[in-house]
Amino acid sequence: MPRRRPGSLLPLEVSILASCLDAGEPGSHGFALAKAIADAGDSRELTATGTMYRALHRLDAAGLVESWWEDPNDAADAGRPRRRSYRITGAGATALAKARAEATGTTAFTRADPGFAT
Amino acid sequence: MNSGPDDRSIRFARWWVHRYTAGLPNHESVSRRAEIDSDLAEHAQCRELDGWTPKQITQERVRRLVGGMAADLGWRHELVTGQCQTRGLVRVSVLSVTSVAAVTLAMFHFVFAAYMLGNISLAEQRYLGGLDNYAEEVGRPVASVIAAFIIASLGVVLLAAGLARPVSPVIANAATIAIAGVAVMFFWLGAWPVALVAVVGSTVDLATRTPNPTPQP
Repeated sequence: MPRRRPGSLLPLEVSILASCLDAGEPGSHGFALAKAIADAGDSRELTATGTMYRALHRLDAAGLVESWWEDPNDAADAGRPRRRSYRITGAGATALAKARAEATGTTAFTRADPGFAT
Repeated sequence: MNSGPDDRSIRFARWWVHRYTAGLPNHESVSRRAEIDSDLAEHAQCRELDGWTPKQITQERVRRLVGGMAADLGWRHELVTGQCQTRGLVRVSVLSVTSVAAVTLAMFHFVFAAYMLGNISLAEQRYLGGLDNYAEEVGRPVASVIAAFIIASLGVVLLAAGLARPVSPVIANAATIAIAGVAVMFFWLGAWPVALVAVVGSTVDLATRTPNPTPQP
């Protein structure tokens, strides 16, 4: 994993925040975020499980995303384990905008997002 | 979710999650296990809808799991060290102190054992000319060396305790402290006084005794 400057975001974290932003208010669970990132990228490889949830944990701890657990009854009705959903916070949106601004003109980013320089 | 042979990869994934979340606060470990369970289910369901074969799903599941193992351990490390920081404790961490103390003591034991080996070697050289009671004369250093090896073996235990936690994160702090604690207790209560008497006795004995200059026929 590349070393980071204090306050900066890793590329995966930028991608997660961007996916959370796309998901909007309802939020999105970990696997859906991994799939969204893969679909937007060139490789279409899903992010490794540990890498994904470690990054989500960091973003959650930093207050850039917020998470909550699905109601157990809803999960039971759907016949699957409970989902933990993530939603971008105001601080996360600001950090994402800043990361995008820094990336513009300096780094080609793989994410197919209009906000990114490619 | 898949069934049959593919369940092995799911069981492996769950086993791995249980291993690297062992010893963590309950809410963290339960939360991570539930989240990975959900991820496994969502992954299988999504790929089945995409028309993937069970084999392909299993391969991707294993690839994602193995590819993220280092991050899993990193996450655990962040959590453990983060807890120490949030508690505001002055100590570096229980792990670090235990490890450093154990390794230091172990090194001391090894040096001590080496000293005793040198001691018996000296004794053998001094009496190489031959003594009718050779076995008796070197008996005490031999006993000392045995004691030193016992202590050194405790040093190995200490070393293992000191290194176990950093090397294998699945070993809880409590287990590491217990191993090191028991080893230190045995060391200070038992082997150390015995070995001290033995080494002082043998050193004084060797220093005061004049070797026999003429070999016995």
